[in-house]
Amino acid sequence: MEISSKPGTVLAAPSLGSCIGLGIYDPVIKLGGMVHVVLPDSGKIERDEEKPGKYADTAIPEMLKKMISMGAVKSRLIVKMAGGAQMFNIQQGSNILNIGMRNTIAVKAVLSKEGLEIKKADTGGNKGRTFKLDVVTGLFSVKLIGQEELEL
Amino acid sequence: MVLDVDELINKVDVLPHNFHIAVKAAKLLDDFNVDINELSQTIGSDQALVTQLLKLCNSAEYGFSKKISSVNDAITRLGFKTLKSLVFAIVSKGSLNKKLEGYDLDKGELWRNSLTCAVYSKYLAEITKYKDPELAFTAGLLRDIGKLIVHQYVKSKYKKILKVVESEKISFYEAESQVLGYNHSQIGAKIALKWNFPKVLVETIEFHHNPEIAEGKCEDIKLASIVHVADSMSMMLGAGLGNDGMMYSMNIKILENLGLDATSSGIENLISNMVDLDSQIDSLMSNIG
Ligand SMILES: [Fe+2]
Repeated sequence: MEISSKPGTVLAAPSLGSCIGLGIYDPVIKLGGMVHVVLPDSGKIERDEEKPGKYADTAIPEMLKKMISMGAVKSRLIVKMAGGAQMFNIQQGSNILNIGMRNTIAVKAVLSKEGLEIKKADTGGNKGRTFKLDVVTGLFSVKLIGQEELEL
Repeated sequence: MVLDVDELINKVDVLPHNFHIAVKAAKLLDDFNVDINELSQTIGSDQALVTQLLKLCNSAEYGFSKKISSVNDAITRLGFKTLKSLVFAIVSKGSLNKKLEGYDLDKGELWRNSLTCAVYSKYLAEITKYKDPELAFTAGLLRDIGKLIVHQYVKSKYKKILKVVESEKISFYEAESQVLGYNHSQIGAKIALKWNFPKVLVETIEFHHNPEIAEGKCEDIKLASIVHVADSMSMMLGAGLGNDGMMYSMNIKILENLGLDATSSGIENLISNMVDLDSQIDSLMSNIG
């Protein structure tokens, strides 16, 4: 999890497979946050968790709390996400390995609980991505592996 | 331009120089009556390898309070199995730390992905009580060497392969076979054979995407299964992912055969633990120069 308003900073969530990069931006104070969600739900994990930043249900509220304490205002926030690709798994036709999809659903649920709407998302498919947020311009961009970087 | 497999393998370079040493050291180490002097001479014949080895075994990862200062010292303190896997890791960098255009892997990405698969394989070996976690590390590290050759052919046929993946709902390596007439695991096994790798490595390289068909063709199916799961996980978690990305299938049955919890929460716990191994991977990246 990274939060910054420092000019010149581009927050990045590189190498997203089934993981999700969630970017949140307050355009008025030019404060950006980026979290790399690995798994949907910390409640399913059997041991004491020292890294709340890995899970949708713990990482997102924590980042929001921090951003708000730094002056961000919820109603101004722009939220975008990318990642959540699916493991190609036609063989079994099962969703057990669809961590990407479960992550996507979990991130959306946590955001709606927080009263936030996702402005844009690029999720699913079976390719890796890199997701970035430029804290000066507020520009979000996604690069699918093997393709050009595009604005999101 | 489809080459036949033998033609392709003929074009593969002779063994990169220091792999000779790793293979020779591995053979010596597999021998119960290994002659320590011969072993230390073999490793010691490559000064760069010695420097690397000492740097790596003195890194925080191995936690020796007293500095390891010679090859002999490393042999006695690390133990044969660890020593073998470190030697393979060091010599592999020259081959694996390459840009592979066909898979859209920048320099360093295949290397990171391979180290990730190695660390995950070792971890899986430990939790499934496999007899030799260090061997799992090496097998995981080298499982994709076939990509070093196949990538140039994948490059020219990438669109076609992708089309076959999508239209026939098969995995990327199956589509490689269909379009090219071979896939990176077959080619990898042939290279490993040509380079005189231990048989167990040749076989796990060959079956790392489909251990379910390895029965009778692979002596150590458990190892092939471990590498299969580690491979899928390293792809899923995105470390050094190429344009073949996650177009591989992981077989749930293989997880079950390994005695792992294959429910969705079981898999999430496994992923959570694996992600925590990142610092180990970073440390290997920075300590193998
Ligand atoms: Fe592979």
